[in-house]
Amino acid sequence: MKLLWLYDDLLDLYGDRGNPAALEYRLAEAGLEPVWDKKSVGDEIDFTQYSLVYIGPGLFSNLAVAAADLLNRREAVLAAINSGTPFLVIGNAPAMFMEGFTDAEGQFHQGLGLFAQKMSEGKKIIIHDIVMTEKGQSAPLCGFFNSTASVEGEVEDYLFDIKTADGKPDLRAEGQHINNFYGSSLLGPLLVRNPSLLHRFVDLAAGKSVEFDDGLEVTARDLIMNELGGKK
Amino acid sequence: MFVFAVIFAKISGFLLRLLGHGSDLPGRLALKIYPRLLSRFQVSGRIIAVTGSNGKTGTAGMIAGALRACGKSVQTNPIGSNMTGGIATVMCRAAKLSGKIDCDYLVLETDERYSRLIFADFKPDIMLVTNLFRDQITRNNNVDFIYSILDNVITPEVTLVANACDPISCRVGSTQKRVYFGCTAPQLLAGETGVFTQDCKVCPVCKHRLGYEKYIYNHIGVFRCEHCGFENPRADFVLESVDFAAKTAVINGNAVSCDSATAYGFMNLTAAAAVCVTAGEQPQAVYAALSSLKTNKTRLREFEINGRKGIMILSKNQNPVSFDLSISEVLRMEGKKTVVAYINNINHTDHRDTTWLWDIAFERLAGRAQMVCAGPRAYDLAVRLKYAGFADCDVKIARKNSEVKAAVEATEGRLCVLTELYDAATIMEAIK
Repeated sequence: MKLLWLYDDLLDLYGDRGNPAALEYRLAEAGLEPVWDKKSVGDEIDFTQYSLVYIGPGLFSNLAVAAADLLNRREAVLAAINSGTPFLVIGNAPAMFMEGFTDAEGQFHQGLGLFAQKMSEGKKIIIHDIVMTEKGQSAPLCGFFNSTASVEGEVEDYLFDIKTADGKPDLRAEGQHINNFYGSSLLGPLLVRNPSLLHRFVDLAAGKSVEFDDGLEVTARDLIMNELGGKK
Repeated sequence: MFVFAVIFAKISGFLLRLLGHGSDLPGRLALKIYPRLLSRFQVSGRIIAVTGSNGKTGTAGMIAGALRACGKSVQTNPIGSNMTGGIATVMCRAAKLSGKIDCDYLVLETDERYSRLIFADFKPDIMLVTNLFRDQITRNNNVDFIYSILDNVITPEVTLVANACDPISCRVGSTQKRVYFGCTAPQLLAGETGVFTQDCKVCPVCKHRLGYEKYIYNHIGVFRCEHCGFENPRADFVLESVDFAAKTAVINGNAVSCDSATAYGFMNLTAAAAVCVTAGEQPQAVYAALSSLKTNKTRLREFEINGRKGIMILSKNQNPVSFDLSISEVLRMEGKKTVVAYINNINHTDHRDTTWLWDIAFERLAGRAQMVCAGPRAYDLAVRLKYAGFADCDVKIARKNSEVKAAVEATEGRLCVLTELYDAATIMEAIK
């Protein structure tokens, strides 16, 4: 099984490697022999070879370079998303799939335009512990937001309904979800902290339902949920 | 109002010191009384600032100690009081009511994020940037964010002393007055580090993948970009060899003793030498002075509990590189060992963030140590260890302090307590 970690050199911040690490661990445990291909700017990429694509967060100065490269691959990337290839894109990386983003110097960088949104890099760090659910569902999930960026524009195909964000009432919806493309501004090991999401992506990559014991992860998640007020 | 603010800080500082406090608050209050306080001091000697992600405290201590051993009068801020209030406190304490500070050197350890505020109204003569890493996500956001702050602080009148082995911080600042310290010591240079946190995988100039010939730790090493030619700047002060057992190093051909015989300790030593000589001290006197120093051991302390030997290795909070270096220390110890790690919430914001645990290479300890996971985020650490390849039998979970002692007693070997400064007393009390 081949998995694609796109721009691992440019986009690598704050524990996001927990997501590919967890996927590899669980897929290997299921005997599927996963191998991460790490590809970056200018590399030849055949998206049809991959069971899943992962892109993590990075410095905006690096994101601009990655975005320009991704734009050159627009048709292949959109074809992969339309064909149902699972994508997990977190932190500021979803900006590459929006109309684009403006960096701290005011320069605009064009995105793929898959979502009618724009991201802007600011100066102020915004931090939230977040309790959310997937759109229209009731099972609570937890996440961590820590960024100088903000998103303009709302999309119908969002991913999460925000329940609490350190008492900030202005946050309602977050992320992007179309076919098997999942984008979120949340940082770090999102899949590890939310075992139900890890199950989802393991199943998507495997193309079948994969059972595994997530008891320890659930205990850790429940403790955090109780402290944040989002009872399981 | 300036004089009133200084008097207020002196008196309140004196009273708070009697209670064992007072390194930050007097200055903060004085700044409220007179916001442009820092612009009014006149320092007779040279101002040396020490900043960066890791190694500030140790290196600032070495610099101040060496300069004193060279016979110079030195004023400096106490450990940890490196934000605006701490700087204001030490300057008020050292100043006459006129604002004059009589000393040969004012050595200031400065928080990298607060450097913009601290140096808004005055500039250091020399600024040492030890290194830049991802660090304390909720304070520092990312390396670019801190780089841009320091870039604005290090203006042409400042002499920069920078790490030639750090591809990030070696480029910082607009000054042309640059002195570099570096390392060619074969004992410290390795082909692989076994760690994950690498904050400079791409060339900071052209963004192509950066090649590393050797690593000292994380992204500190010997690098070259094959695309644009960006490479280590030539070092003026070179750590040429080290001997961990003998606790000695050779810098520019001079043998120097180093009480802190670790990779980062030797690099800090070289940085301190570079600063002192750049400040105008005679090289031979500086090397002799550095050799005479006893390192502050607050971050590395041996202990014995119920006949069982142990060592506490403090890491900087939410700083994976610091934790990776602590693990390297554990791995250098022989025999069986148990690591007791106390993992808390983010101490200054109370967020439940655990991202930083995934930047630490716990994999290096799997099969080589038992682990006791303690603190409010003990289960998050246990999850991390599971994915790092630890066998279930090698991991004990003691989320409540009352559970720690029994968990520790169920393990074997030398105890290695890894935690951050703020939780050190808590975990030691729980182990007893």
